[in-house]
Formats: sequence, structure tokens, C-alpha cells
Amino acid sequence: MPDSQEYRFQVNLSGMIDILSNHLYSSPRVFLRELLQNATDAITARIDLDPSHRGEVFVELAGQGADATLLMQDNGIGLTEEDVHEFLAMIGHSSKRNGTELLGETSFIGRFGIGLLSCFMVSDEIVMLTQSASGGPSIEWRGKPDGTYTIRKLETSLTPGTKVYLRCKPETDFYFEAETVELDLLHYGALLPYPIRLSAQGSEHRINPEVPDWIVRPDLARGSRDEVLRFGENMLGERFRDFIPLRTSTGRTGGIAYILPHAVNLNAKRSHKVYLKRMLISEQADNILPEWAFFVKCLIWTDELQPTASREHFYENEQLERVRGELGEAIRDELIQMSEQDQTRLRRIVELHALSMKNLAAEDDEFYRMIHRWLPFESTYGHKSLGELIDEKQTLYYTPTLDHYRQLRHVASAQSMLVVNGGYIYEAELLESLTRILPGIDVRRLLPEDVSLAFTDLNAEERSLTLQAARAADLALQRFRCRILLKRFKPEELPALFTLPEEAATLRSIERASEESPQAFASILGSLGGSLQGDASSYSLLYLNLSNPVVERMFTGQSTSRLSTLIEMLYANALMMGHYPMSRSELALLNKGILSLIDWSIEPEKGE
Amino acid sequence: MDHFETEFEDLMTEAYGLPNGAAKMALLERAAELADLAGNIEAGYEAREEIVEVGSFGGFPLKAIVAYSWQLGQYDRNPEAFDDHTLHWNYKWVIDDVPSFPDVPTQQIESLLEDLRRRYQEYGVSDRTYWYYRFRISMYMGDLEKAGEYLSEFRKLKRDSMSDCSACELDEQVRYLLLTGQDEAAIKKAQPIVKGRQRCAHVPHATLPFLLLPLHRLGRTEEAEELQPKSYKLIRDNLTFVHEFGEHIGYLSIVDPQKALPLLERHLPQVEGHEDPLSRMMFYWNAAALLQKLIRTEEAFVLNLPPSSRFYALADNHDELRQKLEEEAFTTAQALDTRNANTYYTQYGKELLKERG
Repeated sequence: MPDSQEYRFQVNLSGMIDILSNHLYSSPRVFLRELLQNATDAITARIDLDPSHRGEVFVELAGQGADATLLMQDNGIGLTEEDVHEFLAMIGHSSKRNGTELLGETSFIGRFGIGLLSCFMVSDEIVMLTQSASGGPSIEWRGKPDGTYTIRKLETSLTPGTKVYLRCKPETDFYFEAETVELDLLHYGALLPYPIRLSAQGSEHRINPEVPDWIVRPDLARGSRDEVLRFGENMLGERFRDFIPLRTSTGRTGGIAYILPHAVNLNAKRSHKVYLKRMLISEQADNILPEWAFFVKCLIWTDELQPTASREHFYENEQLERVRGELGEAIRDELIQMSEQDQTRLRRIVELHALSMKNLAAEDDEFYRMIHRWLPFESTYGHKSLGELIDEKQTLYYTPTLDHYRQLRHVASAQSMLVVNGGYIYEAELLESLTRILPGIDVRRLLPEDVSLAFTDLNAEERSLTLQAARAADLALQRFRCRILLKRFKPEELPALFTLPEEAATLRSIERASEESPQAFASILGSLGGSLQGDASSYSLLYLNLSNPVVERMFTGQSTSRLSTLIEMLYANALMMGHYPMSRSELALLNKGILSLIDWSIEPEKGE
Repeated sequence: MDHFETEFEDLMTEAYGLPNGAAKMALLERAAELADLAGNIEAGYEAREEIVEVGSFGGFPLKAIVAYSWQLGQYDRNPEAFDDHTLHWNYKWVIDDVPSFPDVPTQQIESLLEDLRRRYQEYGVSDRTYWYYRFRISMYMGDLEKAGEYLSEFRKLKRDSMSDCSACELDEQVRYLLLTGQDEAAIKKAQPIVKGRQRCAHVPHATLPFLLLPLHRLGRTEEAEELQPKSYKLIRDNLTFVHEFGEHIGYLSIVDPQKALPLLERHLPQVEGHEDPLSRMMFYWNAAALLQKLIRTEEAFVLNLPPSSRFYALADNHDELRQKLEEEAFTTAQALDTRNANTYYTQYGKELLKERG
């Protein structure tokens, strides 16, 4: 091959370190995780060869401030001279594949180099002493951020394992402080199955607790309730009262879902702590559980998911989708089990996290069937669980919107109608599908115009007595497209009730907007409104209560020329009581009416 | 006044915490009412800005149009007081929904397009967005020839601050290819969307449902099967995707009708009260196609509709339900065609029923 020659890209190491620290990792402090990961990988590799081996990690801090140094030592498999030569080359090798494997599940050696590189974020020189468990000489490696390194064979033979020495570089002494290091070691390594010891300022102690059995086998957690809760408080910083063990069918993902002791917003950030092969990968993993599971905070370990390049999240792939599904199942199954065996516990959870429960129930009939009795609702009988409302054995009316509920609740409670507010998220949907899970239950949607169901019609005598006044009243409100209906209803103190069927409400809002709109839009609103008019349901309704003494006098007393003004005032008053914004002409009505009332009260009407 | 402000802020905060949908809309409408009652235009404007967004992306186009008209009126009276970028941007959402209402005559749609053009020119952006919306609106009005012309006008100009995101633009071009019968080209053009390289709040949600049948027709049945549940998951909780629900039902009607029944049960009661006549029509046709298919193949099936549904009484009378849905859809189609001065939708409905029923 005379003219052909192969070249290698020269990777600029300092540029690469810059990329790592500024773009890949969220903070330089991850160097400690990378070192710990290297130590862990080395110990795992050694245990693979010799299952009786007992791993240990030792960290030592020496010096103060700008002179601080850090040593991390493991008794893992160690590196041979070839390994050492290879690992930097492997970085280039693995990064050729689009970066996803850059820090992913590549070979032990490849990862090792990358992990070591991250130390340049906090140190201008890395010294590594290593002795392979498979023999050969002990090696000293010294690397600099410009990419140069030296290798030296040592005369003496060290015990198998690796030591890495770092000297803090300017401005990074924060990362070498004992408190920071201790916190981070615990943070990343809390679940590692061998001791991490830290020596600083002359004292030495173990950082990570003995890993409890129930973390590895979550089905055992139920037996150690207090311990599990305490552990959760230590690890997640909240005092929990309940938890659900999690496990996937493969057994390669598991953990504990702690029930949050307080309600959370539907859009709140989820923050589960997730460990990959026992090392913390994220404390903000938001995609490892289904959306609806926002009432739990989890400690999860896994060895079946693929981390992103920064090792701080997981790739959104089918594997993750399966794991997410199965973890969701575990939570769901536990809730269903509670509904059969421990209802007090379920009630406590549901009351606290009603929203996510309703969400889940709206999506899943089976779940809804199990849990429906404990879901809380607002009703004219007070805040009650659906079970309690069902036990009332009444027709269960519900309003599809919050507005309707507000309009109807006073009238409805005065008549002891059981009306449930379906206006909050998922509620109308749940109430509507209640017949699907409880066939035969009497649930009906209630619209404002339906309250008349519970109103008493006038008898024939009353009808003829009031007919003339009723016609005059109807005429007075014609221009507002409002119809009056005389009834008797409770409470008696309520003279009039304004209701707005949906179409009339739309028309009303179109007209009010039209008063304010530019020409091009006003004409479109005109067309849209035009199609609604003419329909009977485009009229609003004003129910007048003949049981109210004032209304009774207006309609059964002597006929009076003041009637139309009085009716207009009742109309305006009913609008205000119902919190309806008024159009310009309605406001004008109010002004005129008040002036008339003042006028009349000063001077009695002629002929009286 | 203080009382108003607290209540208004509470409602708005509660609304911001909810996904786009009926519950959020109810809170926002309440907030707008409170603002009107207090005569607070600034607050009324803020609430309506949200109403326009929730309406456009949560399935309440009529409410969006009404709220936007009001906003624009306030803006014209006092342009300094409001954020003109947001207002101009939202015009696009609103104008896009107007042609769905057959009661709005073509002349008024034209005036609206010219109004948009004038306002955009004054705002200092090119005609690109104007041509783009002409392109979209011509598609909705069944004039594919004109749509093609506007598409090439639009392509001549450079993107600017009023341009839709590139994912949305791509989605509309895919739609054009589909409507003009170019399945293969459409699928190819949609690849960046399918692969997730082009995405936004609306894409791929609005794209994928329309790829199911074309994939099936091209014999790429496995891809379609794999895509269907994924696509459905993206849209199932958002009532802005009524037409898309219909596409799923239509597709399933061809490949696995039993699987379409839960979709019909879930969505029919939601769709019957939906504001958008065009989307409702599309849904009804697909629903009718499904029933027709099941009846024709003599498959046993039950339909569980809630008592509040307008169609409750017909739940067990499948053929009558099918007829009723078809009839209502064709009535809307007729009204749209009359307005559009063509026979596009009536034709569209007939072909849809033939293919999927």
C-alpha cells in the first residue's frame, strides 16, 4: 500500500474536558461519582473472578484550601500495563459511536478512562497507582490535561487495586472540603454493597449505611416498616408515613415508593432517586414512573436501563416504557389490594392525593371500580366521599361545570337535592361513567335550566290570577332575550333566579364581545351568533318565586304601571346575584331603575 | 378592589396549574367575568389571552374566537397597553378555526385574511404567514388547487418572527400531500415527524393519526399497527383532536373494528357537545363507518353510552345510530359546501364511508 496511509484524529484533550465540564455534566462535582463508579466497576470485576472477595473503598483528604488533595482507593481488579495504555485510546474508540455509548455501557476499560478524565475538571494532575489482580508489575500513571502522560513500573509490588490522587486546582477547593465530599459520597454511593470509608482531619469513619435486605428484595420491606420509613427520611429528606414496595417482573428494577405526606400540584416536578447498578444516576428522574403517580417519591434501583451520556438520566426507549408500566402496575395493584384489606389506609392516601387518583380512575375502569367509594367530591350535602354520597340513596345530580354548580347550589340545597360539583378536573367524566361501573345507579347531569324540576308549578287559579302581570313581565324582558317563569320554590327569601342555558350563555358572551370588537371580527361574531338565535334554548330564564311575599304582591296585587321597571330591577338584581357580567344596556337599566325607585320613594304614585 | 384581585389571581393560579381542558376553561371564563364585573380591562385581557390559548389547543374554538375578538377591540383602542407580539401571534390560531363554522360566509373569511395581512404588514413582517394561512384555509375549504398555488407563494418567502414552527409547517404540507392523494410522498415527507426530529406541542400529535390509513394502503401494515397505540396515547386526553379520534376509529374500523368500540364509547359523548362543526362531522363519519362495518360483517357487539349522551336512546339500535350520525355529518357537509361553493365535503364523506365502512 504505497500511497495510502492511515492517520488518527488528534483529540484535543483540554477541549474535550471543557466539553465534559461545561456541556455534558451538570456540575464538576460529578468527578466524585465518576471515581466511585470506577472503583465500583473494578470491585465488581474482581468479585466476578473471586466471589468471596469483599470490596472496600477508601477516601482520604489531606491538606487545606488550595493545597488540598484527595485519594480514592479501591481493592478491585486493578489495571495491567496494557490496560493503562489502552484506556485513553478507548475513549476515542467509544466516542466514535454517536456519543450515546460515550459514557454508556461500554467496556470497563473504556469507561474507566472517561471517568478519570472528568477529574481534570477539579485537578491539574492525576496520579494513579494500580496493581492488577492478575499479576504483573505495579504501575504509576501521571496524566496532565494537555493530554500528555507518563507510565512507570514500580519496584515494589502493591496489593491489588487502584489509588487515584488528585490535587485541587485553583477555585475548586470547595469540592475537596470534607463536608462536601462526605455528602457527595453518600449521595452517590448510599446503596453500594460495600463500605466506603472517609478519612479527613485525623478521623476516619464509614459513610454509607449497611445496605438493608429489603432494598434488594422489596417484598421484605413490609416486615421492616419503621426502618423503611426512617431510611426514606434519610435518603429523600421527608418524613413519610406510608410506602409501596416496587419490583418489575424481571427482578432487575425495584425499590420503594414512598407516599408523599402532602398534596402536590398536578404540574409539579417529580423527583425520584434512581440508582443504576447501585450508583445514583439521578435525583430528578421524572420519566421512570407513569404521569399519574405523582403522589409518590421513590428510591429505585435498576440494572436494566440505559443511561444518557451524562449518566444523569435514562434514555426514553421501549425498555424504559416497560419498566415504567410495570412500576405503575405495582402501585396500582397495591391500591386495589388496600381497597379490599385496609380501607383506612386507602382513605388516608386518597384524601391526600385525590387529584391523581381521579385521573387514574378516569383512565381505568377497573381501578375506578375498586376505589370509587373513597374519592372525595363537593356536593350540596357537603364534602363527602362518593361512597357516602351513594349511600344517601338519592338521585345523584351532577353539574358539568363549576359555574353551573355555583349557580345551582343554593337553590338545590334549599330543596335538599343532592347535587355534586363535577366542575373540577376529571370529575364530570367520572360521574358520567359511574353508571358504567355501578349499573343501575341513578346519576343525572343537571343543567341550570333543570332546577325547575324541583320547582312547584302554579295551580290553575294562581295561573289565571297572575296571567296578565306575567305577560307584561315577559314583554319587559323580551329585548334581553329573557323569558320569565312563575313558580313556587325554596328558599322563600329568594325572589328570582336567573339561569342561562349553555346556548344562551354562548350567545350572551358573543354579544358582549361584539360590542367591543373591530369590524372584521364583529361581523364574524354576528354570523356565529345568528345561527344560534331563534332557537328556544337561546333564551335565558328568569324564575320568579311566587312564594316570595314581594313577588306575590307584584303579581297578584293591583296592576301597576311600575311593573315593568320592577321586573327589570329583579332581572338586574338576579344577574348580579348570579355574578353575571352585564352588557352596557343592562347596566343602563340598573341606573334608570334605581333613579325611579328613589323618585317613587320621595313622592307617592298618583291615585294611591 | 383588593378582594377582586385576590380572587382573580387565585383563579388564574389555579388555572395555570391545569392541563388545557374544560376545567381550566371554566376557571378562566370565571376569571374573565370577574374582571368584567370589576371593570378591569387589563385583567380581562390577561384572562382572555389564556382563553384563546386553551380554546385553540384544548377544543373550544368558538370560545377562542369570541375572546380574541374582544382582545383585538381593546388593543385597537389602546395599542400601547398590550403585548403586540402575543396578540399578533394568536391571530393565526383564531383565523385557522373560523372556516370550520359554515355560518361564517366566505366574504367574511376573506376580510379576516386581509385584516391579518394588513396588521402583519403594519407589524413589520412579510406576507409569508398570510400566504401560509391562505394555503391552510383553502385546504379546509376544499379548494386544493388554490391551496397548491398559495403553498408555492408561501415557499418563496423567508421565515420571520410570525412564522409557525417548522414542525407545524411540515405537518400542513404532509396534509396537503395526503389530501391530494399522494400517500407515498406524504409518508416520506412525514419521516422527520415520525422519527421525532421535528416536534412541538402539536406535532406529531396532529400528524400521526392521518398516516395510519396511508401506511395501511401502502401495505406497510406493521408500521401502521405499531404506530396506532403510540399515536392514540398522545391525543386521547385532549379534545382539540376530535378529527384525529375519528381517524383512529376509521383506521381501526378497517383493521380491527372491535378495538375501535372503546374509542367510540369514550369519545362520542365528548364530541357531541364539541364546538367545532367540522371536526364533529369528521368524527361522526368515522363513527358511522365503524358501525356500518360491524353491522355489515354481522359481528356481535354492544355499545355502552352514558345516559347524558344525546345518543343514549340509540345505543342498542346500531343501525339507527349509524343513520343519525351519518345524517348529521352530511347536514354539516352540505352547509360547508354551500358556503364554500363546491361539493368537496359531501364527496369526501361518501368516499370515507365507502373505504372505511
